[in-house]
Formats: sequence, C-alpha cells, structure tokens
Amino acid sequence: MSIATNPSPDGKTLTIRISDRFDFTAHSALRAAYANNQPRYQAYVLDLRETDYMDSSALGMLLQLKEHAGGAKTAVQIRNAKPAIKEILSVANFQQLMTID
Amino acid sequence: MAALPIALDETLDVAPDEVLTALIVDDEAVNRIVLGAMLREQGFVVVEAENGRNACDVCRQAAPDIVFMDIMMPEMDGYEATRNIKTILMPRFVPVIFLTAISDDHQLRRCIEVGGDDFLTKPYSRTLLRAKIDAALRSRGMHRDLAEQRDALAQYQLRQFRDMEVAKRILDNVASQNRLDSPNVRYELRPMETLNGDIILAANRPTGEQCFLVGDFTGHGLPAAIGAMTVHGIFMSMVAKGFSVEDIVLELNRKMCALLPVDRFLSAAILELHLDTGLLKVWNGGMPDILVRSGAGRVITRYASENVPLGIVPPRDYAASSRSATLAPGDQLLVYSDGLVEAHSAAAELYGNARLQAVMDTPGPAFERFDALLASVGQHVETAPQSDDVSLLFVVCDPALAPEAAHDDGPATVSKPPGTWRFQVDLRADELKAGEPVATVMQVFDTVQGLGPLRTPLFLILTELCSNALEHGLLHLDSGLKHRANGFAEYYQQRQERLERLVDAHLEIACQHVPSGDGGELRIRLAHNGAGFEPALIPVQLADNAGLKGRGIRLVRSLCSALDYEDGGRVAVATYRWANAAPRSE
Repeated sequence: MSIATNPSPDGKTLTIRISDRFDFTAHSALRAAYANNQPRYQAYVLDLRETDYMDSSALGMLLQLKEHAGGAKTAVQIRNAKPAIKEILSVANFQQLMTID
Repeated sequence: MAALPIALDETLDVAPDEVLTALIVDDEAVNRIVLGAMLREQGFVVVEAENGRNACDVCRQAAPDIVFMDIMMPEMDGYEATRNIKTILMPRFVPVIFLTAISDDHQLRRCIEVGGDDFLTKPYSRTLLRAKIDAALRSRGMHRDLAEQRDALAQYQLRQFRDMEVAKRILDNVASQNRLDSPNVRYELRPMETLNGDIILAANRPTGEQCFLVGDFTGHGLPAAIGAMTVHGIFMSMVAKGFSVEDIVLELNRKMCALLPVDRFLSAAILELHLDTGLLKVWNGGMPDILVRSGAGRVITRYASENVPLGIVPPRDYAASSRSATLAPGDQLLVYSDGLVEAHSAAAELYGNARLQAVMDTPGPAFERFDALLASVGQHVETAPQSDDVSLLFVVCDPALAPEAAHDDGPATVSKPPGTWRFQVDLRADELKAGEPVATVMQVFDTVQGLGPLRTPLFLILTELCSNALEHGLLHLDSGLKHRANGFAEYYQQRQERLERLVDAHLEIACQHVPSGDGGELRIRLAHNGAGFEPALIPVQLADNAGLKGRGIRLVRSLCSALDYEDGGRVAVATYRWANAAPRSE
C-alpha cells in the first residue's frame, strides 16, 4: 500500500492516489494525507486506478474523509475504480453518499 | 569480595551491583589460573572445570553467566560440552567464548556451529578478551530484554484470551435467545477471532411470521460484538411487538448512527417470511445478493443491496425500501456475509460468486445443498488462515417445517391482576402512513401492568381488525387478488401505493377492560371513516373462502366471544373473555 497526494493548481482539490491494497493498513497514511492540511480543501479526489483490493474498513475511511470534507456528496469523488472495487462500493450503495465515476 | 564495575559501557545492561559468574573450562591448570585472575580483576566470580563432562556437571548445579571454553580436552571436548551446556541452560542465554590455540578455519567455524558465540585464539591480549566479553554481555542483555517482553506479551495474551472467553460466554447467552432452532432454518457462524463481528438473529412475530437479521459490522472482535448486543436487543423486542421490517430498519439505523463512530457501520439484511403463504419481505443494506433457490434446484432470484448500510445516513435522511415477493413451497433463501465469497485459499484465490452459484444451482434436497455449500467452502479454504468472519443463513419455505408455537416473547407476567381501564388511539392518514397502528397500540398496552396473558390474543385480534379496516375500508383493496399467482406481492404493492396517496382517513382504536371474577372482559372497538360493507354478507363470504380470503375474520371469531359490526361495517367490536389468569377462548 502506498499513498500519493497531489493538490490542484488552484488549491481547491486534493487528489489522493492509493495503490495496491486499500484496507486498514492505509488508515494512518490516509489520515496524514488529509488531516493536516490547512485550510481544508473543498473536494478530495480519490484516484483508485492502482487500487486492487478494498475492504469495509476502507469504506469507513471514506466516510471519515467525507465528514472531514464537510459532508457534501461532491466533497469526496472517487475516480478510475476497477470493476471489483466499484462492486464493493455499489453493494454498500456509496453512490448515494459520494460521487463515483 | 566486593564486585568491581564489570564494564563502563552502559549498553551491556548489567546492573551495578550484579555479580556475574564465569565458568572456565580448560584441562591446563595454568590456563585456568591466568584467566581466572583476569576475570576476578574484572569483578567476576570464577568457577572452574577441567574437562567438558565436568563443565556440564557444574552447569547443572550453578548456572554461570558466561563460559570460556577450551577445545581439546580429555573425557569430553569443547564442542560436545558447548552443545550440552546450551541445552542444560535453556531457556537462559549464556554466551560461550572459545579460547583455543587452534587457528584452523574449519575448526574455528565449528565453534560457532555447535552453539558457541565467539572465539579467541591463544595467545590473546587482555584488551581483545575484554572486548569479546563486552560483546557477549551485550548479547546477553538483549536476550534478557527480549525474553521479558515475550513473557509480558504472553501474559497479556492469556489475560486477553480469558476476557474474550468471558465476553463470548455472555454474548452466546444473549444469542441463545434466538429462534434459529426452527426446523426450516440452518445457519453457520465462523468467527475469525473469539468474538464475532457478524450476527444472525431470528425471532417470530406474534402473528407467526419468521423474521431474520444477518449483519456484518465493520471490523471484527470486541467493538463489533458490543454493537451486536445492541442490535440483538432492538431486533428481538421490535419483532416481538409486531413492528414492520421498515420500522425495525429505521430504529436500527437511528441507534447505529447514535452509537457508532463515523468510520464504523453495520451492513445487514432483514427478512420476514410467512411460511403458510410464502409471503416474503426483504430489506438489504450492504450485504451481498440474497439468493432464492427454487425447490427444483436453481437460483431464481437475487435481492441485491439497495440501501446504504445502517449507521451512516442521519435518521432524517434515511428511507428504508424493502421488496416483497411470494415464495413457492420448497423455495429456499440463502443470506451470507461477504466473508463467504471472499474466503481465500492458501493460494490467495477467492471462493467467489461462481463457485457459490454452481453449488446452489445443483439439484438436490434443500438441506443437502446447504451442507454441500459448507463442504465446498471448507475444501476451498483448507488450512488457509481466515481473514474475515463468515456467516450463512439458509431458510426453507416449507409450512411442514414450521417452528412450534412461539415462546412467549412478551413482557413477563406480573402478579397484579388487570383492573378496569380504557384507552383510545386516534390515527389520521399521516400516522397510518408512518407506521404500524398495531405496534402503537401494543406500546400503550405494554405500559399497563399484569396483562401478559392478554397480550397475544389482543395482538392477533388487533392485527386482523386493523388490516381489514385499513386494507378494505380505507384502501379499498380486493382480497381476490391474493388468489392469483404472485397475487400476494401485487396486493402488497397496491397496498403500499394506495397508502402513500391516502388523505382524510381516520381510524379510531379503543380498548377497554373490565375485571369479572378471577378474569375479565376485553372489548376492542375499531372505527374508520372509509367504505363500509354489508355485514349480513360476511357469513357468506366466510363460507366461500376456505382459502386465503377471510381467514383473518375467522381467526378473530374463533378467539372472541362476540364480533359485531355497526355503522354499515365501518365499526367492528370484538369481545374477548378470559378467566383464571389464563386466557380462555370461547
């Protein structure tokens, strides 16, 4: 598991890229990636193109991030998820809670 | 003799007042004397042995802290002695330093192979010897720290394990108040740790439907188990009070939102099945597809998760949407947690949906298929370590396998006999849409003491009269629908649609009790402002319908001493008499 962050040029969006496994081992690294930034970004983009596996604790982390970002549905955007990851997100109906494309 | 400081280096981890014992093994007395003098100077207590066998005997009696070993000796040489001494002194770590005139590489290498920790060739300098001793004592210190930590960890683990065992016993006791023992039900819980993060609950509604909950908490172990206790309490009591699946879902969501941290939630499936009619209600929030397998042996329907799991969306924004269907006799339901399809083999291959579907699509008797499924998963996983809790619930829709009469899940009977009382509940369209009129009345009823024996008959009578008043009087539904294939599902679909459009409706429920002798008379009056019917036609309707229609009214008549209709069928009055603190049907 590794996490890379990339702020947008206008400073409004933070893109977080998670590779390999997105599970409980990502917890502290993910929190460190967003919890320290001041001021908060308006939106967080999770780029999951390199994520192969995701478990329910990862879903929990997404909820934490959403709360940190203010709770709006557009505050957390999930991009480039592989089919297996999309399936996990859809079983939990996370498309109702955040933007998934 | 007072001990001198052994070394200046603090990393040696030797306590200042600790006196260490050194064992010198050498067949040459002069060697022992020279080395002994050096070691005493450094603060060691010195013991000596003149050959390997002798050294072993010394070690059995008094464990040294460090050993200096010659190689060539009569009786037993240094190699063999080292091997033996290391075994004798286990699990303590005692460094052995070979001191030898041999400079042959192979023989020096052997010193380490037999368990020695270092070697020094004679003649050696005092400085070098001192350095070797320091290094050996440093290893000894690290070893001791490691052993202490290992022991502390082992003790912590043991305590933790005992606590878990106690917690598990408490949870098991809670879980045993469960109706999973019905002949039509099989289940399997395979927790990954002592405590399970998955739950399977079963309870029967007072009207006979079986209700099930299969849940999967985020994470495992203790936090999940604590959550499971709460879910158990809510589910069991709400089912016993007759609340609908939707009401239970909303209450569980409310409670989980209040209790769980942001990143924790409960994925769950809740089912209600009426064995006699096959009427099924399914709610799925975050669980894998619920499978329906036909008696002929194929998966015919899947109920995918259509809801956000419990404990995420605030109650004011949460809506519970459930599905209804009619199962044929012999149909089977399989509910499982994602630990099943994600169970992996030693080669890290997932069990997967394809294997599951293949087992369930194979013809064969219901329970045999369930066993085959368990065997198939077991074969796949073999000895691979489990990475998630696994739970399965298997329910066969077969009236012949109906559970025995329900335990009395109502509140405990109080010795005080019921007195004279009366209450009335007035419901308008909004309240009728919002929930279950019967459950509302039962909540009022449960606040009156001593009514245990009256609870079940009252519930049955109220349920039947209420659904008649609501479905026929206020919603104008046609019971005839139920005769057709899938009619039940259509009927309840229409019921839902019409209920949502309902305006200007009014339903009054009045209950009154008057004691008489050692029993009493309970009078239930239901009035609504919808369409009436010709009461005179009722006996004819009942005679017509040995089947599904009018059964409710027959049940009420069989329980009550009187059932009368007034105001063109818009008012129903049921009278129930009981005696001897035990309800009696007349």
